[in-house]
Amino acid sequence: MLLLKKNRLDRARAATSTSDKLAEVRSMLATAVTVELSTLPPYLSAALSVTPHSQINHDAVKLVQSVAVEEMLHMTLAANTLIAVGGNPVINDPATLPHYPGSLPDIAPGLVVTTAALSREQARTVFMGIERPDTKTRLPGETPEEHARAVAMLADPEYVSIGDYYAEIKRQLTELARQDPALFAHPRIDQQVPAARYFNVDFKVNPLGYVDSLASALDAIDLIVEQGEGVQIEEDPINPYTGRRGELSHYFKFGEIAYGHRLVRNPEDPSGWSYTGDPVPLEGVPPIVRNASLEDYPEGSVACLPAQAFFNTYVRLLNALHLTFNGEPARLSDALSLMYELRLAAFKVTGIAVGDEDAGNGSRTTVMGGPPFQARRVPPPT
Amino acid sequence: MSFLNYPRLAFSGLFQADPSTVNNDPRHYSNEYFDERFQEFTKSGADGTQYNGWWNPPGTSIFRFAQTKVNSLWGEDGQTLTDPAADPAFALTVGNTLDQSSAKIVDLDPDWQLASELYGLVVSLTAPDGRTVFTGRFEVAPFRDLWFSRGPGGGDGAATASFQSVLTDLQWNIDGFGSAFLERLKSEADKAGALSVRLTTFAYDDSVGEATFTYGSLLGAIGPYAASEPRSFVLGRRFTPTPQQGVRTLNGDKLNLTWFSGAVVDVPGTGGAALSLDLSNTLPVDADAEFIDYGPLPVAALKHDGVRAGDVIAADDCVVLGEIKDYKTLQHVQGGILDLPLTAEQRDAIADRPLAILVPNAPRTGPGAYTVASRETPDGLQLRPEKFTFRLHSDDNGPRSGETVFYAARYGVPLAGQAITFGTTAQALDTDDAPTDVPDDTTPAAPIPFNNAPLRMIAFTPAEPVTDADGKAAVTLTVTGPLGYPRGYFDGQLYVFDYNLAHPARATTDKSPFDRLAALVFSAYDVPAKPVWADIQPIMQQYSNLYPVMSRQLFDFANEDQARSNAYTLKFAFTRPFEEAGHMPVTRDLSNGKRKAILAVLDSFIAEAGGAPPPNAERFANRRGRCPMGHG
Repeated sequence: MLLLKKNRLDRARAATSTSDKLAEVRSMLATAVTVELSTLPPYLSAALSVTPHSQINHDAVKLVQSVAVEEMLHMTLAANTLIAVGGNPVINDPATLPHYPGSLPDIAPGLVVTTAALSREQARTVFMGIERPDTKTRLPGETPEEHARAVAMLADPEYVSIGDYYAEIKRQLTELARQDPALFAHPRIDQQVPAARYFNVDFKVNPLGYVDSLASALDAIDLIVEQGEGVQIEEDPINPYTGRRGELSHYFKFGEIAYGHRLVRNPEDPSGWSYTGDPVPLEGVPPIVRNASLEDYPEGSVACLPAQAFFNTYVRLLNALHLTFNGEPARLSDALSLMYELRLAAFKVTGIAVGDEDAGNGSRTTVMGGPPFQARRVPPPT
Repeated sequence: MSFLNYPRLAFSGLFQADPSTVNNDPRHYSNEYFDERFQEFTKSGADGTQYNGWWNPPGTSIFRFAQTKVNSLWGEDGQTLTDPAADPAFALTVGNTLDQSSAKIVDLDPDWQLASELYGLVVSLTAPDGRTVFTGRFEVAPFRDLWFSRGPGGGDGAATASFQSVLTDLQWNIDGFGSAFLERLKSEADKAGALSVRLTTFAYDDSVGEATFTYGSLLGAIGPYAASEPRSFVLGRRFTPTPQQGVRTLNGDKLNLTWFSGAVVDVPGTGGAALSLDLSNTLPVDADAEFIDYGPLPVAALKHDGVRAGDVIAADDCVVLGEIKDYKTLQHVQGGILDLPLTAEQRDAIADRPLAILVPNAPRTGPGAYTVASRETPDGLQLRPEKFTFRLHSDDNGPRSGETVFYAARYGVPLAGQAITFGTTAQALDTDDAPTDVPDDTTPAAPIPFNNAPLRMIAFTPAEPVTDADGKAAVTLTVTGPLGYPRGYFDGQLYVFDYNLAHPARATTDKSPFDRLAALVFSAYDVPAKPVWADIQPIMQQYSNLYPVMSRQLFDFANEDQARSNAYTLKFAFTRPFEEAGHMPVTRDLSNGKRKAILAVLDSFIAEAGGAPPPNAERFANRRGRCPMGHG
């Protein structure tokens, strides 16, 4: 799971004046936007590594894409909330863009986030690693070692789960609204994105997905947590569903890819569930360059110009998103057009064979280009 | 005033043009005879060639710059600035939009792929620290002076063309940037609200699998614009091509030049003038896209207008003004523009004498001193239209007329009182774009379309315009009646018209064969009262056939389920303004009536889905979502 530095919460809790507290909450919301955004390159790399319209891998790709779209929704809701309390996120600062392999400055270093082709391994280690709910319960498919590690991470006093992080934001907003009843008096709706117009989701307070009150802010955050982490339904110990429109939360969507089967109820499993339903095939996806950067494609190589074109498109997308959340919400249309262009630009890179690697059984397997989400290579975290 | 004038910024780098080539063969427009093979790359082997979808079926139509940088600034005293320390503008990268979709390159029609236009192109200048100091929008314009023999080999690799237009909607961010050049450029731009820009594109790589596939060489220039001047060409001194056999140079090369233009420009700070020639599109290049070094080539004024290109002349038959030399500098520093300072006497001498590019012969003196490689048009005459491509309707759903302005000049000076005549082009099959496979049993089966018929579909008003005191004449083309489907399986008809000065002694028959007025006239279409999917499916099918990038990498909108799932997105794309990069269809060949029908069907799809965007999981695919709540 993603763990953030606990000192962020401590600073918010320690702030006594309304203005200090507000500054801390804005900072936490800005970090939330960045965290959501940072999940996109790994998820998009995976989705784009599969041949478009591959029939056999259709369900697996759809699962990844649905998560990517939801992360964009979460980014939008965190941004709307930040705008409502007087802040604006920075989306396109090269100094704060995430790098791969790596993790964000505030995120616990135990989980190394990488961009790679879609594989059961990638889904299991990186994607489920990012999305694991902060429950001590042993989750379906988890080995005892993985379970123990998750419990240990949760116990680490320096870090908190993203669920706790958002819970703290809710607490702080509630306290701030109590201290300052005018907290949401100027929500700057004209700068927010009407999320319901772009995403198929149900809001319980503001039907368009704007944040203009404490209640709508809490609803927005609840939705982020539910889709990411799952929600308690009945006696269920693992909360696989989002509670809205009946979809699985991210961790379990990725689980279906990792274990190759749909998640179904199974009283014989300690968690009450198992990945023993209908198959979710994933095959024939060649590896792509891992943690690709522009430096991986030397001048004159066949993938060089396509890689540069991809990165240029990605930078434009970040610029469009930055404008969207900094006073020009109509620019989201440009961002959506750029998502399509990004997809086409990615396929030009993933369609080029750039080398080969050990397939692990004495043979070599072709490696295809990986769309670069960064300009420079990054040494792995120590 | 144009990009030839001071203050001028020259740049170079690569361009990318990624057109889909399935639509290169008009026979592929036939739904009935469409074969999936037409979406594959050409297959060439020992046993022959199957053209299939030609050289780039999965093209996206994107047009953009890559690795493009500023090379030189033309400074205050007429000297080219090349020292990076002289002005921070030297360090600028030249790019495109910073936050929107890429521009698109679009042909007028598959039967007229000779006037490609750029839509939604933004030109930006960015400093090394990421600060963008300038952006401007490139007004839509087709390329000119298309030529297929610029380099070794043939086809698209040896093609070259120049896009000239104006940059508008200028945004500046130069406070504190410290560039005297940009300050000066901005003050010029503020006068006209626009800048002149020229992009020359050549040495294109159309071989899939190569590192530079879909990329080519770019030479660019930006300069001031004056509202009295044409926006998309230089009304200056117009040079004609070398005869086909070429002219032998002293080092044994064969020189062939194509159409190009130049102008006499003022050089501020000196009180003098220069003859600036735009050679960016005309100097032949080698296999590495480098200007071939022909040795010094004199630029001269001919004393006698009767001399023709290819003729040998004596040294005293001309007045030499300067030379084309320093080819590397010309290409990599000057943006292909040669500036020759003129004395006052020289300026007078060339005012009414034809200019020429000469090739020196072994004795540089005496009667056989030079061979004329390229000379100015006869009597210095030129007649050129501003707008020369048109999309016209033949029903009430869209504009039936389009207007253009012709400019007439003699030795660069506007020519008043000149009558202009128009000529129709004979009905003909578009065989150029309809090759035969070898063996021919896989040749597309649809009949090759013919163009320019039925006749008299377009009327010119006035029928014989006369240029005014400024040498300009406006003319309107109007569609005279409803057009059926003369091309059978696809919409509309292509009409091509020649134009000339009426006075026989001043006929400008010397013109590029592609310098024509070209009009796509849409077939008349009755929009159904309540359009349904069946009404529009064949239109969508045709687009789906022709643009496999959509169906193979995004979604297939010829499939009703996928059209429903993506109705929101389709409606958005189909309602973008015509000039915008994101306008669909990219090819801009959809009549207004058919667009109305498509939008009505999309609206009905959206309404039937409850008015909301589809579930997230349906994007890019169409499978019914699984209900996880206990139903397995």
